[in-house]
Amino acid sequence: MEDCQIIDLYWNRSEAAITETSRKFGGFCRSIAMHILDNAEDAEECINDAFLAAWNTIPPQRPKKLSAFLGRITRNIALDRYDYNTAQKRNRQFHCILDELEECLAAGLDTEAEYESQQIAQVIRLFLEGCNTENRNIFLRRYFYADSIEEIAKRFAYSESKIKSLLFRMRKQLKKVLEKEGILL
Amino acid sequence: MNRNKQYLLFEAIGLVDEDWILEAETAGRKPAVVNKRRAFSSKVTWYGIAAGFVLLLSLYVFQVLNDHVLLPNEISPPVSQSNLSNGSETSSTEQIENNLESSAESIERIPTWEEQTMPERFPEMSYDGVQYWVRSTSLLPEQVGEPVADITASGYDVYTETSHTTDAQLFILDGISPSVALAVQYAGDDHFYPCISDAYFPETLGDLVNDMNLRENMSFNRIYYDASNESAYISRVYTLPDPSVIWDFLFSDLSLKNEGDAHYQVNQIDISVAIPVLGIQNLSLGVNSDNYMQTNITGVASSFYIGPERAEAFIAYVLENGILESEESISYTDPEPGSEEGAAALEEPVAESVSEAVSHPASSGTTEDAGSPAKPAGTEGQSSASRPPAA
Repeated sequence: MEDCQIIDLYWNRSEAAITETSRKFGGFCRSIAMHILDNAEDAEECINDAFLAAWNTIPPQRPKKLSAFLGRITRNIALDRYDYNTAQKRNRQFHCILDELEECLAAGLDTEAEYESQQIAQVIRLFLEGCNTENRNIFLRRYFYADSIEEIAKRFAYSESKIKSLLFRMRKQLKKVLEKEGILL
Repeated sequence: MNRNKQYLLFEAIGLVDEDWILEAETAGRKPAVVNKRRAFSSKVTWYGIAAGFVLLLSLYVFQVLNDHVLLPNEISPPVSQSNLSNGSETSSTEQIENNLESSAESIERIPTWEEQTMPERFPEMSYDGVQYWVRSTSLLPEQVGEPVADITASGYDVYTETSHTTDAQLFILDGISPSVALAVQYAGDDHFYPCISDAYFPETLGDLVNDMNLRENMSFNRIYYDASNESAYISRVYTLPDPSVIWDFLFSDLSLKNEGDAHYQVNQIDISVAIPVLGIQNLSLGVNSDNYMQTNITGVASSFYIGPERAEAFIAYVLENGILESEESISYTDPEPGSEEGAAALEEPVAESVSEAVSHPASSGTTEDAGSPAKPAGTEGQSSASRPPAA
């Protein structure tokens, strides 16, 4: 079923919207949730919450790209769930991803300033605009989709060491861009 | 630990453009476009695999019989002279196995850090926000221009999982735009090597030609042409007596816009090109069935719409004027393997049906034309496979 047809089901408040969403995007959302949570039960709960969130926001929303819309919701819910989980249940791989992102944060600087996600997103957008397509895709596979290094290496037919080097350089560049734009986290 | 701020960053990444998220969803690397030397129909390949399996099974059965049925002193493996001279009796089977192992090892093994050359150790560097990748070709001193910058090159030892850095100096590469490539000299090394930008994307065909000084630097080698229909496949290799005609056919309109990988697909006709100053020996420049001239000489896909007239005219010119170096034709009509009918079908000349495909190359929207390929505008009265008029 096309995305627009599924969205029409939401607008018509037909319960078939959830069934069709699950059929088309269930695997996709599960993949994102599992990458962050690494726990099947938590991931299933996260996906159910994501579908509920979609039901509650469509209408009035009419997303242009349903997969991106659901991907974002799933990701945010999974992140909240990850934060909620105890330390013992934390996903080591996602822990690594957060540690990697810590490298982009300037150390020992102003910690009182508060930034909205949107402000930071604007700077990240600026950074990604300056990257070539492949590098941008690799960056997003790691930090949006939370893929493992091994998965990214297979997908792009590169060695794991090359992916690690590339992401390392991109984080350094992102840090410079954040500092230059005055985003001091 | 800045856990909340890490989350903030992670959340913010989630707010990037939807188009980028979708692009990354299906992103992956296209297989490298290589010049085809040979191509085989899948049926021929499967017959070969089956034959190989039967052979291996026979060898295994023979070995089992040798070990368990025949008396050891009735048949003994041959002993080579070299084994005798070493004082050991290594069977020829073991010898072969040893050779295979060492061959496989030599193919698969990554050289150690100590064994690697400087470009292999430090293949990448960054300058002015752009990543450059080094090729192992040595440049002549006269190809190297003014110094540009002192930089630090990075490398990674996969055996010890250690990162390394070294000082290096970047230079202009004579005749090549810095947006394409520079020359690098590592500290303590006398040689210069080309390093290629991974961010270069020419907006037009003219940019590509000028930035890379292609008229001076690029040479054309063999041309590969494949044609097929539902019953047969043919693969031909040509050379052109005067390869300079390629400029007239494919590079006459330098204003053509680069459409990147949007139309990139398997070439209908494929030219092997070399750009020695950039360490390029065999990359691809060709014409696909959507009438795009496409190339991977910049390291990423570039495609330029040249239109059906020019595409067909070029292919026709090659077929009529090219020197045929080799040809391989395969019929894939459906006989039973091993049957007389099957053997006869494979031996039948494929000439008629495939020559039809070769003489009248398929292109979009012109399937019903059984005559000569369309001529470019302004060439009426000339032979159908003549050079196009100068732009």
